[in-house]
Amino acid sequence: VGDGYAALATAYEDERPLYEELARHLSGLLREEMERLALHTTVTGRAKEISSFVTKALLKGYADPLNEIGDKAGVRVTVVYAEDVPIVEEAVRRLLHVVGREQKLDALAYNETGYLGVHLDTRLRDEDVERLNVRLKGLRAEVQIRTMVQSAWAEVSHEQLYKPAAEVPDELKRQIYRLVSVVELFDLEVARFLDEARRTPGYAEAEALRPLGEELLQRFDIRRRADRQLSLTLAASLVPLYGLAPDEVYPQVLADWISANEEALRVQFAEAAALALNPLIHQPEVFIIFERLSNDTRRLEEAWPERLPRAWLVDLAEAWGTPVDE
Amino acid sequence: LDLRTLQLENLIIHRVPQKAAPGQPEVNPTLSDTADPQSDRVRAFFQRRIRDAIAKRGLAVEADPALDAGTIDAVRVALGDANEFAAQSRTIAQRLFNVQDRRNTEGILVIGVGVVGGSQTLVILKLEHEAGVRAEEVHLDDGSLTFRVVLHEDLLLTPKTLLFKAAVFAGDDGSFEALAADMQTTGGIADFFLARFLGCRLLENPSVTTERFFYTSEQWIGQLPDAEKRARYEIALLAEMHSGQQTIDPNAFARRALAVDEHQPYKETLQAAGLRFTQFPKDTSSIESRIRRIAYDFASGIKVVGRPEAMREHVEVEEGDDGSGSVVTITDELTRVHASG
Repeated sequence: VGDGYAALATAYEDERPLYEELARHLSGLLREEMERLALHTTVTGRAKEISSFVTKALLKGYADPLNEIGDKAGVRVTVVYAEDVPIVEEAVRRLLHVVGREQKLDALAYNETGYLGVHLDTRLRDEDVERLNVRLKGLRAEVQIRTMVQSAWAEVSHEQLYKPAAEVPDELKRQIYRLVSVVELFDLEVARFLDEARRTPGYAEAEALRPLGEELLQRFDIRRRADRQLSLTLAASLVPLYGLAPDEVYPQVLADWISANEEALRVQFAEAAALALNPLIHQPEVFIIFERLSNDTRRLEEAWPERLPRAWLVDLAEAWGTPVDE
Repeated sequence: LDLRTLQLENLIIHRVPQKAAPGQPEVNPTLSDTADPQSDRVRAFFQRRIRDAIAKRGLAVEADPALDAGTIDAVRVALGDANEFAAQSRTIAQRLFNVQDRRNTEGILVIGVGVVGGSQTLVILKLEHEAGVRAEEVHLDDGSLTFRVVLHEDLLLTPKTLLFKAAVFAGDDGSFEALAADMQTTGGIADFFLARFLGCRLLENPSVTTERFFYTSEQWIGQLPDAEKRARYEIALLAEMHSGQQTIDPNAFARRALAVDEHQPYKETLQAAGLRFTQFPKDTSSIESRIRRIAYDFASGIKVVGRPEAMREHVEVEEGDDGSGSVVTITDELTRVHASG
């Protein structure tokens, strides 16, 4: 065993820099793609440690471990919401050659519980190999996709079930495995919450407000916390005025408009700070109100939510020099 | 002038009383010796009031070389030299008092300097005294007099303080753009304020503005695809021209006559033609014959002509269901049929 261990370790040690390069490349590639898709994820990558590789090779009895062990390079994509797992998988399939897929859930009977992540056995596409390093050709990498909670469970179970020097009694193992059903429940409940929340008026439209909150803070140094209910109410009424998907409103209309009107907006915020009259001035949707006052006054008036005082709109309109009907 | 960028830096306030009745002791304005930036609140308050007044009633004006240039000269000097601001503002206040008569009530005259769109600016506001804003006399340690503005916050929330008149001058190197607004008259700007006090005249003759408004509106209406709408809007436009109002308010007209979705394209069309979307004095003298009658011309050569009010009452235009043309219904009493050359 000693000789075998040393030989395997040496063989893998020679190959390992390539797997490091592969893992580094893949994690960068996927991180970039996750940003492009605006998915809230964490992407990490590693080449398998030499000791882990040899231990796995010996314990699992591979005939040709250097070729059979598929996770010498590994990338993990951790998502917040379970609904993002298939989106990430689709992205991986677009970018890499997927030669195998394992979803642990598929292997479980209805009365079993266990790890729920998706593992994809991948290789670089030929055109990428040519561009990067021909020696990466044919090397396999495992891409794991899992939710934050699945990840937490996997970390804890790995630490507690596989790392201890002594074998853990079955009863203790059951304690850890019982927890996995909580993980499953957690992700299901979050999915249900998202589903319900998306049916709440203004929820989808409020997506348009996210960059506006950042504009308030970063460009105008306004640090007041926005009233969420007010945001939902206004977003539900005003964002549809643009006839764009909510996440397109800022890049297509408001980003340039805010830059072009920065001076006038600064004056508004300074006046509001001095007069402290209107609660809307610290809301991210104030940009939408001013922009629509400039470019679509009448439809803004028509769309104004009945449950909000019209005096707030009238006040902002007067301040902006675009009077509306009182 | 983009007044949304207006930032006042220094203010001076004078009290301009009502002229004394015959036989009563003579009165004089109470003039501040010193300018005072006042508080952020006060400056913000005046910035907003000016912006609102100009947005509602503002008209572009220019110095009239035929008139006394006393105020204009004072404005130029004050814009050119910050040290002259207080002295020139007193000249301006004294001049206002001089041109007023018994009909003009007491007010406070607020004169401010600052910046707008990167240019120096001087603003003049005549406000009602006593309501939402009070000017209180303050004697400084050196014995000089100034007024400090006291704002009553409850009244500020729904600004009760009446703003009577406002003027904004902005520019550098002696030349300037100017806007003025009169919140007390419905037909433009009172002559005593515009001509005798400011020494200015409207930048464009009201008959020219009215004509440009009419033709630009008519062109915009003419390009609408829906015949029924074209007829309805044309009648509304002519009704606006014929109404007894002394002013035309394009914004109010659009609100009254046009569909909500058409408000903005119409506004942009007027603005592209250099027209402000605010009230201006109406003078239809140059288009009198043009607005007397309205005519519907049809592809067949048939023409329906009538007075706008008769058309509104008796003629109905609709789009045909099958898109084959317009359906025009005239509900009236046929009084005569005759050949026409």
